[in-house]
Amino acid sequence: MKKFVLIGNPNTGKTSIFNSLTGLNQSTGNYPGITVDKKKGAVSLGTESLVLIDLPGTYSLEPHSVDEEIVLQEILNINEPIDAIIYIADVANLRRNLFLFSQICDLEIPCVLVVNRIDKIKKLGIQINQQELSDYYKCPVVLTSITQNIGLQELKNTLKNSPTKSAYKSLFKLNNPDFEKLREIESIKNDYWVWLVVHQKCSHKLFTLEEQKRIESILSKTSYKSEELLKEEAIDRYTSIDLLLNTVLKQKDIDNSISRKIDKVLTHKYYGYLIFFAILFLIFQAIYSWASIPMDYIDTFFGDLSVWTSNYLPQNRINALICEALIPGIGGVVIFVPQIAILFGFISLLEQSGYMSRVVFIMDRFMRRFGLNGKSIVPLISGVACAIPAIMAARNIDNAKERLLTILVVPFMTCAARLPVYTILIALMIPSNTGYGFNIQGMVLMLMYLLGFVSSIVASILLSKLIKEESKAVFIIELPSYQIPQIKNLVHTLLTKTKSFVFDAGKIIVAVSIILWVLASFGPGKAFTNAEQYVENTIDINNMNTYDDAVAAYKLEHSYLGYLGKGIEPLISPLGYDWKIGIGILASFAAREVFVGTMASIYSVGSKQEDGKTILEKLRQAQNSTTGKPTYTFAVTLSLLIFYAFAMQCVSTIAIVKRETNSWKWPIIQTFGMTGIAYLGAFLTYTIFS
Amino acid sequence: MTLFIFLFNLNKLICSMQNHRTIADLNLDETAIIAGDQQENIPLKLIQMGCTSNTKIRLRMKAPSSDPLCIQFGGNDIALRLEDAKKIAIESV
Repeated sequence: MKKFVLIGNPNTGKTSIFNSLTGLNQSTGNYPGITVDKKKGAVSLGTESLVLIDLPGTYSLEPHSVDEEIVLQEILNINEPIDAIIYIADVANLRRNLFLFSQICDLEIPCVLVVNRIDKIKKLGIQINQQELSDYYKCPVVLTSITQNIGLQELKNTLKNSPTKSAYKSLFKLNNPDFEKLREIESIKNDYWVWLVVHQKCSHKLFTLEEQKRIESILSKTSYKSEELLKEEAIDRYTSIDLLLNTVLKQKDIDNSISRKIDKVLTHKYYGYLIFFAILFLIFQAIYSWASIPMDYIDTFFGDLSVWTSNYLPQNRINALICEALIPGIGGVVIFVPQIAILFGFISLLEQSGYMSRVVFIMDRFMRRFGLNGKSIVPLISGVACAIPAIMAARNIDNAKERLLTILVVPFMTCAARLPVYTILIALMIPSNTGYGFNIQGMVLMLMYLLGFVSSIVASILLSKLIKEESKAVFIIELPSYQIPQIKNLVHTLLTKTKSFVFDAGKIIVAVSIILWVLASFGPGKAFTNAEQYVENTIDINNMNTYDDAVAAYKLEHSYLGYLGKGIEPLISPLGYDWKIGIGILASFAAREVFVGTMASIYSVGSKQEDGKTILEKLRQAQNSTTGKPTYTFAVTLSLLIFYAFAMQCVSTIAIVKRETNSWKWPIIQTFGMTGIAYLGAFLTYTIFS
Repeated sequence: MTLFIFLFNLNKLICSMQNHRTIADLNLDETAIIAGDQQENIPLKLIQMGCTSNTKIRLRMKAPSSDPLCIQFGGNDIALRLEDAKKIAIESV
């Protein structure tokens, strides 16, 4: 199948075009070795179809940040060459958009130039000579507007008949005999490819080892100043673009009066912040109040499903595995979907509308004090949903040190996985919901979020003093004109993000619940197999209710899981936890949200399914096996809250940090540092409050 | 004597630097052009976005404490930090 890629500046409507061309035939994968999303989709063109890849938006082929490197690597990929490039340009900013396009043309890869947002030309007073543009670059030019549904069919027809060879002959000259020696290497196609290889070290790994050696030996013999040469290249390109635009484009002075008026309010020195915090407040309100309705239904549904299946299926081990491990496990994943969807929905709306760049603009100076960057605000907010996409969102921060700091402190933010743990612990700690006219549980929850944010800021201040890493990158961001967000894009984002969450996190959670169930259902030695006998000797047999529970408790204590929990009990008893909580904490190192499910399984293994008690009721009744007092006292619960706020308990996050920082050093420091703080904090909390 | 000449020259240099206005000195909505021969002071990314010597720019917005600044050139609204804006000299139109 033919492989096409979509390239363009940021904020040109590239994603809308990708969504319109591929519909729901999309999949996200990862590029090997890095975690930048590789968005792929199939475009059907009547009888044939082609693979379309959406690349991150960039202003030039010279990468300034990690995500821009992807564009270069995909384009220069010699092993899987691309068949054609679809270049998306915004009609309102054709001059800048043609800069990257002129670089693309010099690659001599067949391309189609799409001039998007064509519906705006009347309002902007633009006249564009499509034919002249097409003649100059010797490629088809299609005018489109996704909002008005203009030009999509024409684009599809053009793609169908796209040539296999580029008609454009690059006029790019190296003017340097040393560089010209690189033409000897076969996989380097023309002078412009040489130029990219000379200036972009990250492109070298695309070549075979032998070629890499040759490239490096040639380049080591010559000295040059990349930055100056690249600036000259840029100035030359703009000179020819300006010449071309004289004949192609007629345009009045651009006046974004509507955007300016909005900006006056949104970036105002008081209202700007007020509005930003109001929006944050709205998002959190939505996560809690809106999401709680579907979450309650999901919770009840899976509880009932468990009971129903247990009664319907024949009573055996498989039944127990399904009802005690699988169904609660899957339920534990699905219950997050409403919260994740709401959060990603808001972030998608803020990004699409162009507001996110304004937040970056007004927050940059504030964040810089902590060693971060205005752009860190997006990862930090996303961190409230999940650290994984949040850490990936840090890749557009060009400054290496600020990017590293962002990656290191994002896991302090209260992610959605902590939410169910917090919810249940807070409910245990503060039984009554209202008091003094407030929702006290809600207040405590808000404090936990505040704690997450404050600790990430404090961590960042400390780390910025400790880490010595220089970066010359300059902070430059575009403030695009405001756009009305498109529902279609919103739906796409929601579907892909939720899908990847359910399947990626789901795999771990389901696996952990099955392992836990197996460990809890089997045990070594006679104490486990002959539990009934042991219990009969101690308890009044006539009281069947206590009898069953006692057998179950005895079995659990003597199962593999029980021994595991008891093994770590000495380590966690200073924090006030017993072995059952210990098991929950151990399991949580796979993913935090496993805690609730684990507690549910531990307290339901063996006990009668028909009672259909909720997890909260089970926990409230839990008793410390040695003292007989309730396990979850105020001090224990608070200590657990603190532990979960700080501990780095997420295998996926560790893996992402490893890939994004390209070393084991940072994830290891992060994991031990955070878990150490958690242990200390929980110890202090328990000591003070008990 | 050499020290004196050195100090004198240094003083002259500082004076001439003060005479040059930079992007950081622009008033809100004031228009100016980037001074000629500024290539080495303009960050590569900005040049690649089309802001070169002799480009007409306009100061559009200031974040609180005047940092960062938002300049407009052509169809671009670009934000940059004060420290970088201070390096780019401008001429009035």
